[in-house]
Amino acid sequence: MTISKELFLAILSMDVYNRGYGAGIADGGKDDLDGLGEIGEIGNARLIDPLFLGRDETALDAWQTASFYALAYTVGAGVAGIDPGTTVISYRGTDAILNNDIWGGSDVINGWGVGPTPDNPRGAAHAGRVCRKRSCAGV
Amino acid sequence: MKLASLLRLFPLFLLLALAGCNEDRWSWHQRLTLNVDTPAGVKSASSVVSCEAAHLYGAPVLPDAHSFGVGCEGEAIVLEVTAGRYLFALLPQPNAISVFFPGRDRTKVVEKLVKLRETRVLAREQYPRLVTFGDINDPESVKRVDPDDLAASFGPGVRLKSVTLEITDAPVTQGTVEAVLGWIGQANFIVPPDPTDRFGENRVFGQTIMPSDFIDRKTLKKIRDLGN
Repeated sequence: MTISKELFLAILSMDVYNRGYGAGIADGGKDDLDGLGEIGEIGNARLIDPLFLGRDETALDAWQTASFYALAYTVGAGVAGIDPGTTVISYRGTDAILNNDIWGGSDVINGWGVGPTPDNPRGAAHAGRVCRKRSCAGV
Repeated sequence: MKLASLLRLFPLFLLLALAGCNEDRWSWHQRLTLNVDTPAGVKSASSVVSCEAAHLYGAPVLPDAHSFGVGCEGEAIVLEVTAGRYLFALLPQPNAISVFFPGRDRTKVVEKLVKLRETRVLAREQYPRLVTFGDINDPESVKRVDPDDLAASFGPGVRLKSVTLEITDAPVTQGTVEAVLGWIGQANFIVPPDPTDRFGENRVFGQTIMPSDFIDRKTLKKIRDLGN
């Protein structure tokens, strides 16, 4: 049975909020460090290990400062309109209004209205770098 | 809708997002202590971290935005169990609100927490992650330590006696991790990833922890910047 592209992408767009720093839900107790974790599967998609994509300590610090977070998935069979093997990247939207040492920088300041440039350390530029690390098919 | 129209509306979006945003903040210090039985007697070590809680409320248009969070800065506990063999209790320290006010509404008890000057013995499920290194100068020799079987890592007669958490006025612990792990300030990984392991299926333990599990990210950055 196939799942529609729109539903599948909606699931992945929500999934990224539940993994990594500041995850919205936990699977290991109240103080879960990374929510559902950053490797594994969700439905027809397998998470690509962020370490494999080169996200090291320096990058993670820059991500959190800019209130940026993204995950990449390899899609399997069974999703209408998306070929198996396609890479999908899911980015968090606005989940931090003010700059805050606890959950990172402000999305309003770092993300809204900012376009990507190679040296721009803000959210949109991190998005560009995640895509360039592995060749991404647009969906 | 054309881009120009959207841009003209941007100040309104900003105003809506920020109008009515209120933020309450609280801060405290907490000390985590490991007490270990060894053939040479009880050995203890602790680390004081600085913590902050923030409660954001009143934002009308951004339901995904965080509303309550706790963050701490400091470093891991370093305990020399036997000569040259170290036990580390990694960051983050246990959430003090969960320890001192389990099951209670966080926004309502944090005000009480910051006024406490009290110590609690942690339950087993509240313990931090424990690690050691086969060779303190080789990050890739990191090994997980079972809190129920320290003898497997450190030899007979070594046992974790207790772990305690205290709300305190003591200053934040600094420099003890770097004094033992001289390489930590310049490390981007503890164990680098396998460039062929796309899905992380073959991750080893050392690839599941990062330098910021030993020293908070902000302090690590300062150490790194000083070293450059």
